[in-house]
Amino acid sequence: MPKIKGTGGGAAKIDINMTPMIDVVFQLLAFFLMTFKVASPEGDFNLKLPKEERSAGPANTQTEMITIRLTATNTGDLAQIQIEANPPLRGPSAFPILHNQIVKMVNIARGAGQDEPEIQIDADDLLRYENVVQTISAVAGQLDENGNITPLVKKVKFAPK
Amino acid sequence: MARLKSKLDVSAEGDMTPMIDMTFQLIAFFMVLINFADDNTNQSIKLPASELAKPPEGPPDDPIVLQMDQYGRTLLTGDFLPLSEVKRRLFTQAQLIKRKKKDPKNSNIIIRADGRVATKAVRELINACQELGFENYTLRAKAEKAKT
Repeated sequence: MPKIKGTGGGAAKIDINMTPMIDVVFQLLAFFLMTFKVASPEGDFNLKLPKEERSAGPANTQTEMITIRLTATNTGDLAQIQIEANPPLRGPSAFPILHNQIVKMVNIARGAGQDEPEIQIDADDLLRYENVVQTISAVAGQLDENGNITPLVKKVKFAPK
Repeated sequence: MARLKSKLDVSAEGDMTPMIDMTFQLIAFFMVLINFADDNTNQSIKLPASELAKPPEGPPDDPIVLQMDQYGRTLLTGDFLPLSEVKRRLFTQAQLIKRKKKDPKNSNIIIRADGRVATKAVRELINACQELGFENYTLRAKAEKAKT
């Protein structure tokens, strides 16, 4: 019986050419690195805004309607916030004060066994939208120490214009 | 002399395994994080920040995403459009929803508006949607960490 050539010695080492695979892998890595965008987390404010007549009041007659007037400067910045006929709030502390006043109003309404008041935002046309979102944020709820949200006002709408 | 030469002839092959392992880990990381819903999150729009804005728990029903840049132009289906064109396209959307035996008032209009845009533009957009029977609106904001 003839001896098969090459089987007697040690195991033959098979060299796989890794170069094409590494090339492709680096191409993929470069593609993902270049297209990668760090997306910041986004959150929502849900509003129910059915079409209304201009003179419409609150949907439920038992609900108190509070109008928050947001006045803008010529550049679109917030000039002042006015809750109904209360003295206007100005400066960087306007939103925290607004929040505290809304908390008081909601607590009074809840204490009297009524629904939370409905908020109508009457903003100047020029006002930057971020101020409206800050207003909604100030009236919609409050954060506790653990980061949980306690809802305050559930119905927020824009004043018809 | 010849025997000594063959002993010194050692090929310098580095072990590629850890590098390939690492590279595949990186590819897997980027593949998992790739954002396929890029059309609905235009990066040029700077959303207003809010501490109360929390990410939604689930996808909304029949969402229609309307994005507005700082100049008040609305981005819908990949194009920046004037309000008149947005109304026309939303009318078509509303007709499609009705054809599916659904009511537009149960659909969700998601508004991703730039924080610098004038409130009038956002209000006009909402009014246009209201005219077509849409009632549920989601104002999107950038989730901000609570100040301690």
